[in-house]
Amino acid sequence: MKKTSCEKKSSGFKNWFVDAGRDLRKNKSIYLLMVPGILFYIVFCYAPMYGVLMGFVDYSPARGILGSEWVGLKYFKEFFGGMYAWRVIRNTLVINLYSLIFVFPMGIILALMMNELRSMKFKKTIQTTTYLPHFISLVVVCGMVVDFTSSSGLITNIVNAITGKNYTNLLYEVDMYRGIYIVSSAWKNFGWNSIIYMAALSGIDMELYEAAQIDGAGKWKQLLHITIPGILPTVVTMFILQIGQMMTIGHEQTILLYNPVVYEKADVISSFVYRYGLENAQFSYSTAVGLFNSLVNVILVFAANKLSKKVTGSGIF
Amino acid sequence: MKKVKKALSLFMILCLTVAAMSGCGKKEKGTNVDISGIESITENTMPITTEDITLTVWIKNNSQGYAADYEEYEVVKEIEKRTGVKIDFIHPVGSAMEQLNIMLASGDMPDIVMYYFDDSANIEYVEDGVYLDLTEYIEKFAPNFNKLVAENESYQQQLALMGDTRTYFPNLIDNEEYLGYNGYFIRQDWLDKVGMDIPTTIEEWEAVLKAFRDNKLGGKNTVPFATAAIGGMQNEIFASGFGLPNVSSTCLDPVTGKVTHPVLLPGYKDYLETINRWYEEGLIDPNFIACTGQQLDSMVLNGEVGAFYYDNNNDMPKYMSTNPELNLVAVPYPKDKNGVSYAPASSVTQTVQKAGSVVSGDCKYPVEAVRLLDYFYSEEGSTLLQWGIKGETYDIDEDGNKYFTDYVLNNPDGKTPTEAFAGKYFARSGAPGLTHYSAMRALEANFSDEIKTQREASIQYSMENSRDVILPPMAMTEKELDSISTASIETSTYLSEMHSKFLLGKEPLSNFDKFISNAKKIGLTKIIEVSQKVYDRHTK
Repeated sequence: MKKTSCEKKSSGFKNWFVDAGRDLRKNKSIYLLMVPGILFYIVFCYAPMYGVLMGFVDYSPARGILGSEWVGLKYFKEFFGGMYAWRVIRNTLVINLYSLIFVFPMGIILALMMNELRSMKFKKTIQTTTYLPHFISLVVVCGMVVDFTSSSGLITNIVNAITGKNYTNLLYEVDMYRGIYIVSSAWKNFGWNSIIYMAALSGIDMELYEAAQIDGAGKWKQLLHITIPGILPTVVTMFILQIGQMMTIGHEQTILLYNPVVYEKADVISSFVYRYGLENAQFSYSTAVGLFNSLVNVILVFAANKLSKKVTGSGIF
Repeated sequence: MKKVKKALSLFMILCLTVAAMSGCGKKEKGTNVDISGIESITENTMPITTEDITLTVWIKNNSQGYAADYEEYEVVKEIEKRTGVKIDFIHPVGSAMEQLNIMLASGDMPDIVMYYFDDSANIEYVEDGVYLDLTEYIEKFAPNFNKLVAENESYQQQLALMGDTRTYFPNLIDNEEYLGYNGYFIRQDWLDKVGMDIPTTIEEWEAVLKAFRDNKLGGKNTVPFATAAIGGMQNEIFASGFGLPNVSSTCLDPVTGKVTHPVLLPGYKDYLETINRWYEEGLIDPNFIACTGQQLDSMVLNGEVGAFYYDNNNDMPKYMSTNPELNLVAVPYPKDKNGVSYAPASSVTQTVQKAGSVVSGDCKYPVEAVRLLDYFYSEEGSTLLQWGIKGETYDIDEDGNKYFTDYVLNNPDGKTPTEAFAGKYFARSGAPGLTHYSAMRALEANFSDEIKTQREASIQYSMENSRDVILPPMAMTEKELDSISTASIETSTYLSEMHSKFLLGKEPLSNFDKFISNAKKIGLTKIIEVSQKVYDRHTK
């Protein structure tokens, strides 16, 4: 679409519609292509949004959302007034921060390392083995973690041998829980996460490397001045998306790994909402907490985007 | 370009509003069936209807993988034939409680739901019209159920505590003995090796477990005592030895008879101190806070465990038949200083169960649904569900006693009796209506004498437990429930967290007084206050 009528100064609504109509006629096949996408968002993303109203009413299934009594911010107050609000917010943020610091770069580093491999066979083997864990069910992965960290588990024995301490069950140690959580999710995901960077790497023009070589740049300089700038936009995009999930941790892994002893550092917003909403049928309360959660996420995405535009000059919108 | 974006966003907003509006049309709730004109029935004669009626029934699939759909079951086909009602089963996938709550939130209910019900929460759903108020329906159209209740005083007492409104059809058990299904077991051969007797008090238990540990009777990984974290079992081991019925839910004070919470009873601190010491000294399985059933199975069957607390009706027989060398014997519950052991909450089921069936407020054929449910309380209907089909799964001997046939007891395909029954006829677990205790026991007819003896002993021991301090399920009003709902979730999180920390020694016991005052502040006082009020109302 080159400069169309849109660029003209419009005068009022009528012109606006005329312009839009003209554009629609001109590019109707392109607009047609958009329809499935738009429908998807309407049906699966926008329509369910009406459910957030549940957080503001004393929801009763029989009366429906709009028929239930309007209670305003009651459930938000209840959540923030409750003794566990700040604990679950803190835990969510800290665990996500850890995974941003430790797990996020792992995919990039793995991709960069694989990029330097010369033997195709070796490269393929590494690639397959690193992203194989992604396909193992989370329940199985967590079951393995629970077994390995129990009193007679392999990992417990190794940790005891290294530290010289006598831990019985690592998952009962408040200070170890987050580490176990991060390591297990890293193991499961880092190979998979590297795929997108591998794709970005293959898009870098080989001539750049050749030119650099002629100029006398070593491997390290090539990495610094060609490879990394080459994948930076991808990294930034992934980073912003990751930031957008700072307040989100899927409840599955938490619920499979935690126990009351480590609630203090393990209980996150989603597991908290799960216990309230799905186990105790406090629908309105958990909707309110979920809505708060999403709001913070949206704010974080905008903030991260702005920051990245300022620092690297590229953002996602 | 900007214009297009604007047009698009306008379009989106429009769609959003339309979507929101379309959802707000108030759903017609409650049935339009007026039953005041329909005469009540004195006998629930079959068939219920000659019309073409289909009822949808939501029930957790308890067939252990033997039936993808209950409609395949012979017993179900027989029920459909006799009642004339076609039944469509819906089985939740994954967590049933989660699915039920999602279903309730969406307001899209099947005709009948069979599950565990909290009567207080049910009241709310009845008032909102999600569930049908069954009070009048039961009075008029459930002669079989009414007859059972009229003949049994214990049923009447338990029903009275649930208030005047019948929110669900509770499953009934025809024998009090069923109530004890957890028990303590110990390896007799280990006891012989260390030359000790069966322990009855906490002191004796400690001595025995220490001897097990020191003699390493189970090899390198000897676990003197173990249990599984199922249904709160890990939180009640040895509690009876300290005068506590459980550690997590409200009960009655044995001295004053008032509603209280076990953590406030004098034995609780002692209990924490002792169990923590045992844990530190290696007398209890180090993973007991979150030990799964499979983990316990493998430990016991490998001969690493000296004693355990677990269920006596499935797992103990399974252990004994899989590994006959275990030489397990049932042990009485540990008694407190006054020689009393209170029955722990998890091992006590009322004969009027929390499990039962509700009818949806949307059900088009409420009378037929109620009569169908009532059929499961009749001799004929309950026999179908409990014993199966005459001549195929059971027969009657000359004294008129029913017994299971060889198809069930000595299954040609080598299935266990429960599996054989669940494979083709019906999944007895979670079945609605009246549970025949005799049928449950008849399934055990093929146990070895050794297993039968220990099973019997274990049941007897749990029958010896005092039930005096158990607070039965009671109906609360919506207001009462609302006033403690947040407090009770926060309190239970706090209690379970602190309890586990004390047991594992992550929190020093010197903080005990602070813990109690915190718990009271968070909601314990309020919960006890409200429960006392409800208890007074129901017992007066």
